[in-house]
Amino acid sequence: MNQENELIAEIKETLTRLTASNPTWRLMLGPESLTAPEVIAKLDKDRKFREVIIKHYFGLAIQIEQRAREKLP
Amino acid sequence: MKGILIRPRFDDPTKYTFDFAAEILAWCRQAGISVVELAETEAIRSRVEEELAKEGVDLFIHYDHGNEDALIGQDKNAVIDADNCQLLKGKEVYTLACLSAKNLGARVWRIGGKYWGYVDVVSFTTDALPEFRRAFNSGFLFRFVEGDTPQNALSRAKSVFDQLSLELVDDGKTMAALAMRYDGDILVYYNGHKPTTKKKLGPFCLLWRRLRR
Repeated sequence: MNQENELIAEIKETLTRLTASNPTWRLMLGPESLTAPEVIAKLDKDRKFREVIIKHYFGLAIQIEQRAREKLP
Repeated sequence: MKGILIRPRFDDPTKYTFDFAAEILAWCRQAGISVVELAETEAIRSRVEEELAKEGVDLFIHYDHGNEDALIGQDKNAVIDADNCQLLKGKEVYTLACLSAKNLGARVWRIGGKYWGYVDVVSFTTDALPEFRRAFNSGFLFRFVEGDTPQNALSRAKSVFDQLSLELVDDGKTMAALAMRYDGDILVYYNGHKPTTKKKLGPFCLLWRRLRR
């Protein structure tokens, strides 16, 4: 659980940086058009959304590791 | 081959998906697919039913909003739902709509149609629009322009989502990468494979599973 919270904190930090560097950035989520601060709020409020983000973050991390291993001599 | 392309535009997501669908329209014309475009005010139920009732329509393309049981038109009402989905009997559906593969897609499959769609909410970010357009449209390219089989088209499209999500990580676009990976995960193609139905578990089974953890 702690690891998940740390991960979400990292994602929120990325989104905060995004707000500064690209203020027009949006996440289209079905019919919703969310700004970075709105995505941050959704990470706190919407459990399913939070779980999806965590699941795919770990999935991506594993894929990246596998790709790195394949590149090793 | 003859097709119908429906593309409403009435909010932020449809503003982008309207543009994504332009590429599909161009490919249809290049590939010799005769396509009737029902855009914006034309993307309503009566016009869709009118075109589907005509002879020889093989392909039904819909970009964008949907729910588990319906594809949505310009007036925010269903253009296709359980009441008129028999019009899709024997046809191939290619849609970017959220959730629609879940029930509507399975229904179309049961009446002999094929259904390319998503079983959950589709997402994309504005910092990677060309990548999302490429991923969302890739299945159409493989299946209808290159003429690949349903199974191969699905497998190749899922690889595109995977590959692009890794490239987006390299570009530092983490949220785009997560959305891309998720979209690839929820993509289905009935008849590339059968719909999977999750068996509903009773309260005792659920309790047993919880206790076993």
